[in-house]
Amino acid sequence: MTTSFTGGSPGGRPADAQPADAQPANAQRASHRRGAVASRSDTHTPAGRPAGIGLLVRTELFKLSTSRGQRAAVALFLLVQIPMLAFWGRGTLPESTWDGLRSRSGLLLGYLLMALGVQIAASEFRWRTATLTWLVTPARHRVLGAQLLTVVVLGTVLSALTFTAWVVCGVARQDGPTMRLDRPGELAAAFAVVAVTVCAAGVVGVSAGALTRGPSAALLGLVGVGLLELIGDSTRFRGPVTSPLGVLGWPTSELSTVSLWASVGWAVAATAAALAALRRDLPG
Amino acid sequence: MNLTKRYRRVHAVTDVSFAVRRGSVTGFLGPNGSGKTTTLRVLLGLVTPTSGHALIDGRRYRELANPARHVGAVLEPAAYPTRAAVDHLHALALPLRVGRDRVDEVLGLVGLEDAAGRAVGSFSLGMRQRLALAGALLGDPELLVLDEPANGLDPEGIRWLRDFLRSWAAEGRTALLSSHVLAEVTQTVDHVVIIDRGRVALDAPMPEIGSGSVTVRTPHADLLADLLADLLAADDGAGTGTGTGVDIGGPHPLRAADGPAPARRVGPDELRLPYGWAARVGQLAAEHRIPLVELHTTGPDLEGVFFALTRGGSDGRDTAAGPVRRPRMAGR
Repeated sequence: MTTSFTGGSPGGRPADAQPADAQPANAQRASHRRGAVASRSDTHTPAGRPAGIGLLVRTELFKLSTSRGQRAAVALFLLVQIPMLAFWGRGTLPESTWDGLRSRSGLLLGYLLMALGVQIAASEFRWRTATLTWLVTPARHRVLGAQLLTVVVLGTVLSALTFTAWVVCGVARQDGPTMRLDRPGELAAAFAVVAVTVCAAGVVGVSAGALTRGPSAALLGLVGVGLLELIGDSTRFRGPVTSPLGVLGWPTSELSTVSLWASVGWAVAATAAALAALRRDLPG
Repeated sequence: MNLTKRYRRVHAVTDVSFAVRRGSVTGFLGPNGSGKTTTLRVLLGLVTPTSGHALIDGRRYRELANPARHVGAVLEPAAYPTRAAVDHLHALALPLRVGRDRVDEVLGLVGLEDAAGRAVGSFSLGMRQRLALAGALLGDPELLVLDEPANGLDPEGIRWLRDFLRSWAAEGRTALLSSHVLAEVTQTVDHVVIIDRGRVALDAPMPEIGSGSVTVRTPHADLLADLLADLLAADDGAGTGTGTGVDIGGPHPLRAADGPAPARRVGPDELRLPYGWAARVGQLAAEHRIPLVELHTTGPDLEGVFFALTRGGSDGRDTAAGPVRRPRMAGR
């Protein structure tokens, strides 16, 4: 099929054949056209080129902030942190306070971000808004890239928040040296492990949502895969779902490098699979 | 051109080719399951064709620079249910680089300004259709692609949509409108493409489909026919125009369709006249005190053409073979 614009309108309807009641709408359109032309000339530089990845990330963050479920999930997570900070780990030994830092700041967050990533990607298909998103941005890989970057930004910011809160809490309960304030390299390394693992979990969530194109299927699938991973000795804490648990569930003074590499590797593999699956049709 | 899309064994569309002229409103008609939506989705880059291609201004949709500024599409009333209408549009406006003012403007244009802050989940289907149209208009496009836009609209909404499309066409803009509701397109479109079981069955301008007719029933049909013939002769002698004020810009109604005689006898008490003759028949009957049992104007017989072309099943199976049926149309 070709839609060709050859100019002219042999079958075109003459303007004077308009019904009387269409005139106000017509006038409105005409005034709108003038407004549109003016606004285009004001901003003609960016209008002609497609949206950059930064603008697409901003769009995804706007969608998240205006979606009641996703906004509530983040708010609820932050609220839950308050009683956790107040009661979790009270009266423990200094070394236990440090050892619990990674799991307390990242474990719940990692799986929240995995679920949030599923929602960000899959709700577009659940509510059919992927059609509109892809009409505005036909380069689907850019949309997926923006969704991935959005969970990475969210993961980094929320990790920084929770990590800082738990460090402050540890300093208040114990002292600065216990929380390695005198060894910033060690503290930074602990944060990096939390942030990378949390972001990797979020990336797996987005990819699973994009692959399955349905939030329920993605979440159930991830739960099922996670349970299967826990059964096998060779897959436990090494699969896409349980590798974050293998990193963040261990004391801060220990690091399961296999789990860390596995979580990053699975994030990369899931992204590659989601990119490859983007070519699938979006039928009505 | 020669667009084909096959889903496993089902041929959704087979070798479909047609063109949409700039400045026209093209009706893309067909029964449910005939391949309309698939064709439009291929055009918009959402579905990859098995073979062939669909082009806009000579390029594929995804090859257009900022395509939503050239093409506005209403495919389905899709929106996140807990998001407010204004936020739904703003999420589309951000990557389009159009501001909040434009969002408010299109909401006003579709009559949803009072519902802008409401969650879309509380909208009726008609309101969602209007919201979808608002989203399509955000980029101030030249071409509108509408897939069953009247679905869920009440009679007032359908009338509003018709008026909107007329004003759209009057501005010289282009629209491709798919529908299976013939009444909604008869008064709106300039050109008709009918698709049936994945194949184009008709591709013709509306005037070729016919301009409608006037039906008169009276016990004195012979007398009325003679008087109409006298009127024709008098008009021919005087060399006057249409005289009725109806059918502006159309062909001379006396010569439009049925040869030199304006009235054709179709029953013992029934005459058929060309489109635009109702006022003159009424006036003539009143002058000569001829009782009329019935006098009505029928629009273009799109429905007759549609049913003649699309009779039979439409599941799309095993239709790859077999000739494309050509329509029989008035004037061809």
